[in-house]
Amino acid sequence: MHFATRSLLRIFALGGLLVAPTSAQHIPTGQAESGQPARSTRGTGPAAGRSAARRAARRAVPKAPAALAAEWSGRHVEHLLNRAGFGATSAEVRRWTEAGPDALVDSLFADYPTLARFPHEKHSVDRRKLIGASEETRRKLINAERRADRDQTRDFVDWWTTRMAAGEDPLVERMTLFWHGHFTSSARTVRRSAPMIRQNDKLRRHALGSFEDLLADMLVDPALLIYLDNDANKKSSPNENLAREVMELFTLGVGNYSETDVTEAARALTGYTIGDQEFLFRKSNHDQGRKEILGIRGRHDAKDLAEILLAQPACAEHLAGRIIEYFEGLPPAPERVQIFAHILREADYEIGVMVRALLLDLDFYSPDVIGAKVASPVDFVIGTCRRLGIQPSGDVLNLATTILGQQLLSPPNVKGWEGGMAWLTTASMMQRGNLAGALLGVVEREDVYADDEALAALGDIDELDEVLMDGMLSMDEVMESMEEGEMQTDTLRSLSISQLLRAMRRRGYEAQFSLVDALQPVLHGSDEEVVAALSAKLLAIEPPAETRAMLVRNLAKERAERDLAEGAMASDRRRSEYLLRRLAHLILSLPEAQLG
Amino acid sequence: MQFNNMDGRIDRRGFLAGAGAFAGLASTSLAGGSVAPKDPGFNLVMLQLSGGNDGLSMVVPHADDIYHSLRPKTRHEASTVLRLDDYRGLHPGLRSLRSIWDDGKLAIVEGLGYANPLRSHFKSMDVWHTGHLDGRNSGPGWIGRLSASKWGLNAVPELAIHLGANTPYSVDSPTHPAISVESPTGYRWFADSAGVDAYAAAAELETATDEPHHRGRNRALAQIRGLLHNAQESSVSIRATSMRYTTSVAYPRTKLGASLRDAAAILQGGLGTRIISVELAGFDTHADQRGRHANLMETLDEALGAFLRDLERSEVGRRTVVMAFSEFGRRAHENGSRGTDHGKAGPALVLGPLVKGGLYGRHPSLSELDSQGDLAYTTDFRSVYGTILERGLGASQESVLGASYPLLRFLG
Repeated sequence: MHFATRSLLRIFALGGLLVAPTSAQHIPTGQAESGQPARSTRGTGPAAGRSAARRAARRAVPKAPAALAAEWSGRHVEHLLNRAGFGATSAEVRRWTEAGPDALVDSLFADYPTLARFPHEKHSVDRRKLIGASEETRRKLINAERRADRDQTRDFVDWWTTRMAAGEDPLVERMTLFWHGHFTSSARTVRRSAPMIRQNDKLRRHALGSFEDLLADMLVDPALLIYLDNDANKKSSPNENLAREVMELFTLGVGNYSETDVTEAARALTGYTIGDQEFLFRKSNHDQGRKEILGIRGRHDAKDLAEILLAQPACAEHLAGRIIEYFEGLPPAPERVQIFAHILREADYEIGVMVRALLLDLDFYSPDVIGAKVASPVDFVIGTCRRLGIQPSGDVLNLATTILGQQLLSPPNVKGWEGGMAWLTTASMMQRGNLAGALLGVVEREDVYADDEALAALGDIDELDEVLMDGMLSMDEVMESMEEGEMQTDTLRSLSISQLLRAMRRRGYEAQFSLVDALQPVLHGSDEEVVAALSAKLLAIEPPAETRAMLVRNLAKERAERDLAEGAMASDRRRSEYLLRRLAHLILSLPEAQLG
Repeated sequence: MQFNNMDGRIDRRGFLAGAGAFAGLASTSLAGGSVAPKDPGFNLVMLQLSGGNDGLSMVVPHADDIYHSLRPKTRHEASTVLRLDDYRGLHPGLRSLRSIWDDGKLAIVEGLGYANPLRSHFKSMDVWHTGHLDGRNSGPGWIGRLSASKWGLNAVPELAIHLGANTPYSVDSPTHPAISVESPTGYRWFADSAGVDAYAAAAELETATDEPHHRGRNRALAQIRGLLHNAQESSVSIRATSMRYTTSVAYPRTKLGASLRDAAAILQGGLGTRIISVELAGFDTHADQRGRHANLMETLDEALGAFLRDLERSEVGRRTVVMAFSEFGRRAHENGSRGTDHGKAGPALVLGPLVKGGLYGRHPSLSELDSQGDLAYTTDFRSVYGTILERGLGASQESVLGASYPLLRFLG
């Protein structure tokens, strides 16, 4: 009863604000502080002008509830930046704790001067050059083109991960990643880099904009059309792959449409195909006949289909549910889905309006939500780099997340990444720790190939090196097999930490940061102070007392073994740095480091 | 969620803080009135064919005219299939499986499915993973339930192992999660022995103080600490077992081949493993099916051929049953892209040195497709689970599946 009442009140409150923009147009305060110049409109895409004014008005809602503003602390800042961005540095935590929730949320929605685009070209083999060429020349031409295209994919992922780590426009990159897992397409199926890069660009431009525009754009998106076989969907021979996933995953959810609706929607999507990596509508392949989709009759095409789907109550509910679960890490209660579906509908599917309301919702900060979400590989890797203040090259970051099960541009299937506890297995748990060790410079190639102490204790294992080397693919081989389309996620069983170390060396990665400098103020303090400072720096959540106590015992033991007295760590920088890195490796391998 | 206070920590010494909850679990499962049958001691290897395997292309009804008319572009000529009888034959690439059939060690269970089938990959796979029509809303995966109800406190971390990425929901359990090994050689946390000791100590931590404002965090931590514990417990044993394994059998150089070699090593390694899960993905053949499906059949056949030869070499190996299944079969009528769309009923393969080969279930009629043009199921897929549970693993169907299904005679 209590919940229902509160829900209703909230709907009214929000609804009122949504309909009547406040007279004082809100000016984001975050911009001055972050040094980002203001921009009048975010979008530069086709839909940008259409509703810019309407959007600006809606941007003026809502404010942080008084209860949130009153209890606002570093813990809240970190939580918000874990979920809406890719983790917070100590400096960011300090700054936004002081500035308050409204300022921080405003900064996340601030308009940045340019919405970055990755410059790229469309690679394809010039067929004219192939005519009359020898078999060898043809193969050379084709391989060169493939290699260039593969490099372009790599450079793009490099660019994207660097943007995430830079933290300039965190919420847009966070939402782009969300949409990448929603309107999934995989480079493994699409095979060409340009459509994947362009799809990503669309996801970014619509990231917080209108879902209506996004859906319309996706239904004519070359990468998606290839990924879901719509290039084979013809009047004479319908292919229902896209039609089904549009309903099941992108808009309505299972149970909200019938099998007949799928078949009819597939007819509406016939003729939507591609030519030379661009969208192409082949009228002759389009079924212009009458269809009935979800009770609506007409000579439907993709636009009509989108309209029919958006009008279904299930659409806003499905979308709200997916977004809330993505941000909170828990399936939301049905009442809560209703509240946010209502917000979404009232805002004509403006995603930003709903996300803003969510980030300022008290329940988003509930004890069940804060610190309880398993960090995805991207969260873990990017967040760790941000907190450590290191910037490995994009391909090192990409390889790192891939080893942990999240290869950008190659989601495992049309449902995207499952997320949550599914990220963690006994294997990935240990790999996360290894990866952190590699970034910290405490796990090196020699460690990977050195005799295995644990195994040696069990008896002699000869030729361990050989065994370890056997069956490992080089990164080039991996890329090669991806290109051939043979790559399934489980091929990556052969990918391991040694590949990462090899890539790091090739890219000249050095663990250049100083924990001694970062912890300078507490190095004269007690072990407890050192542990508190280091875990605050490295973790996205607050560690519990028993973990802090364990770390203090560990530090004391390691200190004693190296003849360093408590409070004397400043006296021997070199030894202290090594000690702190060992401790950091342990901290980042803990269960606590997998949460955010 | 009846198990939500547990943290998934399984201790090979057989005691832990939450022992009471396990006791509760055991009594719950017994409350159904079923008595666990004697354990015949078989091991189960689950081979998941992900994406929806086209059953009609794997077990081809070569003598059925309707098949040839439904599949003008994707069909296999009667002359090319490996004939099993006057009606059906194996895909031309399944030569090893054909010889396993000839040896009487391959059971083909036809027409598998369930009531009100779902053509969604995810929902349908959920049904197969849980053995329940409500999918994961009904609770843990069926292997997770099996581990909890049959082994409870006696479970070792290595009891159920998934080899590869993408751990399936079937082995999911808040109390008895399977361990996951992507590559046995890399199944390890790198540090010196002092570091490893500290890492192990971290896995033993338990929530010290009740902090209501950290409710969610503490719940998540309990579960992840359980994982860390199992990782620690199994890291050395898995690596040692895999590295020490030698076999005269040459496995194909494919991921599936490597996984099945690891499976053979682990089963014979004396770790107490009873269940292994592996995956072969790529069966979602909406377009250009023939070539793609043929590659998959070849990969499957070579790996299973080697695995069966290897299993024959030891007593533990001989007591192993392989079950190859998919979330659904494909549409009877091919589509216009030389492929097939999502369908319903399909066959599963059950094979092993002690399996009683032959045909089980019933082939769906091609002249009586359902209203959506799909093969109608003739046999509930849980009959396969039930048979393996009762006749292979010594667990009662009732305690794992919550119901009893007619047993098939491919085991026992």
